[in-house]
Amino acid sequence: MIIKEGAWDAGRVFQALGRIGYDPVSAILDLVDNSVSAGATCVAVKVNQERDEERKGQRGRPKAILKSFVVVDNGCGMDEEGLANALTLGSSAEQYSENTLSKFGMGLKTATSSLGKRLEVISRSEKDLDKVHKVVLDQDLIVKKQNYIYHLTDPTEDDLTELEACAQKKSGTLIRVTELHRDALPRATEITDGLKSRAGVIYYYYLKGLADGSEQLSLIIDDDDITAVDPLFEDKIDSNDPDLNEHKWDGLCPKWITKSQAIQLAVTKYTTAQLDITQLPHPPSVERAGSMSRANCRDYYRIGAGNYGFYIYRNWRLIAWADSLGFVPQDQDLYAFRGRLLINSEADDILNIDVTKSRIHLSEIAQDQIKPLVLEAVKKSRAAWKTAHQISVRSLTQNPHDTANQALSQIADRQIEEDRLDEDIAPLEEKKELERRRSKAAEAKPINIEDQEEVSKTGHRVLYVDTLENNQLWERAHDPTHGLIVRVNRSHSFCRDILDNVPENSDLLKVVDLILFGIVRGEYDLVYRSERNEGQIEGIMTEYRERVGGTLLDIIRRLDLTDFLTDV
Amino acid sequence: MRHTVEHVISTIFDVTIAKRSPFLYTIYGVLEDRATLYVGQTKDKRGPLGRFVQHLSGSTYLQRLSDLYHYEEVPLGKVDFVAIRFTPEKMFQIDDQVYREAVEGLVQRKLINWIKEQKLEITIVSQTRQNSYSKLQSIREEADRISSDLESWILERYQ
Repeated sequence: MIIKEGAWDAGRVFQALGRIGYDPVSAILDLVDNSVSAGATCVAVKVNQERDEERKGQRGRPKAILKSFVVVDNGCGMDEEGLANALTLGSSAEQYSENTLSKFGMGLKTATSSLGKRLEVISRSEKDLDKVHKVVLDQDLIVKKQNYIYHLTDPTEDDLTELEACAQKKSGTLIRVTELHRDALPRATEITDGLKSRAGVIYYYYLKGLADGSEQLSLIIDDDDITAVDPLFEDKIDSNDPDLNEHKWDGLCPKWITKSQAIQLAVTKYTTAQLDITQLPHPPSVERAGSMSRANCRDYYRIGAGNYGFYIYRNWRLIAWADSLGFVPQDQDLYAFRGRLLINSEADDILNIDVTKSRIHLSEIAQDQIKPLVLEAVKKSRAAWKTAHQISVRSLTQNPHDTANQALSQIADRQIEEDRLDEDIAPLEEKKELERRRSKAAEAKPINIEDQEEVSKTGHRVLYVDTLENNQLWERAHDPTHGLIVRVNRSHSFCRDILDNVPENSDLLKVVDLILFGIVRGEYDLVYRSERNEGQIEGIMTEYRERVGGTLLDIIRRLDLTDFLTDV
Repeated sequence: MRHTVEHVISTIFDVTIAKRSPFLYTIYGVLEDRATLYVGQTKDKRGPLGRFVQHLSGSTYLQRLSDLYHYEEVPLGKVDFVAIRFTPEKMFQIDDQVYREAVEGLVQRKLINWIKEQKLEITIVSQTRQNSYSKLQSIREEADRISSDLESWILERYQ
């Protein structure tokens, strides 16, 4: 076998590195990552502009164009050897700490070459505070010489002044990118806005001082201090607060759906992730309650199309923003869904983290453990959003259940009247028996206090309740004033997987209310009017309801709901 | 596909383990020095013992190991099995398994958290469902009771 060394064109490779898919905000934040990995407690980012000299003398206002990107920090700094390693393509992993944000040792080179052609690194190492080193890497020179080269030079007075902004005569590093790819870059304001809106979430744990082994970070972007933003807003949830009840949530405050659940990531390596899910407020409900305008609520909690899903943090730094993980569908009713997955670099190989550290691929075991939790959380979040909407608009509009209940209420009142008339005209003995059976039927299924209050408030005959015993879909109950009531189990799969998925189909919802009321009326008639033993009838009916509940669940599980409900 | 079971130890001291009654069970299996745990629930007509036999005759458990560890023949070593009876509350006794599944899902979640806290090298290989009944107090209490019993049982196997 003959081993031969392959050839490579340094200039072309370097140009290609800058095009591996960075957007400018991600590229600049990759430089901030290096500062954080170097133990910095202060990082300042500057997006500098200058007057467009080519427009000088032309009519109109002079246009400001991008001049340079600067990232300066007070990290441990680098000496000549450190700088040589930093500029090596695939820097040595030995230089990285356990919780480093780096992965392949490519960030500095790839990120900066995506922004511009000239990179300057000015650094004072904690090993020698008397010396400031400067290296310059110029892509044009690399292309010209067809060799990967950079040169060492002395820092200028401006370099030193800029370095001290964070370093303050101690260790630190300044990265400056010039000769920018202006045609490929957006406007400066777009870049700074992007940086400011994302950095608070991305470095949440560092800015709060919660990242293991790191001191609290101060991050300044174009002279603005960046505040930590937790996308799950867990500090807004009282620790004694119960988890989200999707059937009663008023939409005013964030709630936990899943808290601190460990997820095993591999079958051959014992590495775990932590999964958390919260539900953020429902802006229209917040506005109606008068605590905040709808727009302010959306802005504050960042409720919108691009922000719902999972925030994945690797070594306490965000790597994926609002990722669906393949389980969170696109749906406006899920805007308040916020998930978080915390992983560390041990998971890199298991989850196939790529060079830009922004995409992960879940292992089979992780998918198996995450999927049922997320699917259940998605159902809860969607149902809660609808509940909050219904509560907030109840006084303003009528929903299909109100319409169905109004109609049923009139019919039920007439049925009560007809029952009385039937009793009145019956022979005395039969009349007594009917009265006895009627009161027995009512005593067997008394209404509870909570439902009684609801019925007296709304007059509804069909009540959707939190849960019913033994997975029954419905149950009969009797209110002393309003008579026969049907209680419907909101937790049953028929409600969660069928009715909750067709909220716009108001006729269907009315028909379901009608059928269920008809069923309990039939059951009541059987107990009340039959000559058979009412105790036996009650027993059989209870078992029947339980069996229907179980069978219906089984049928729904076997259905392909996507196809089935599309037809509906 | 052929699965090899080299060594099985099980101790039976309760005859109901072979009768139709609702149980939550776990299988602790060692696969080439890797500890695995399978959590399930059953109201099988032959009891959890019957279900266990099914698992070892190529049903879900061995299939899961084969899929996850990419074995054509699963080199299963030591296997331990425990079944814990559900409390007599009607919700756990009915044929409809939705409440037992809610407990099973919670037990699995609790065990994953506990394994992490204890820094044990055990992989949970079962797939469970989650449903809305897991918020019920009675379901949570049942899951607490069962997982607490299971924790001490697992520690005995692990050491």
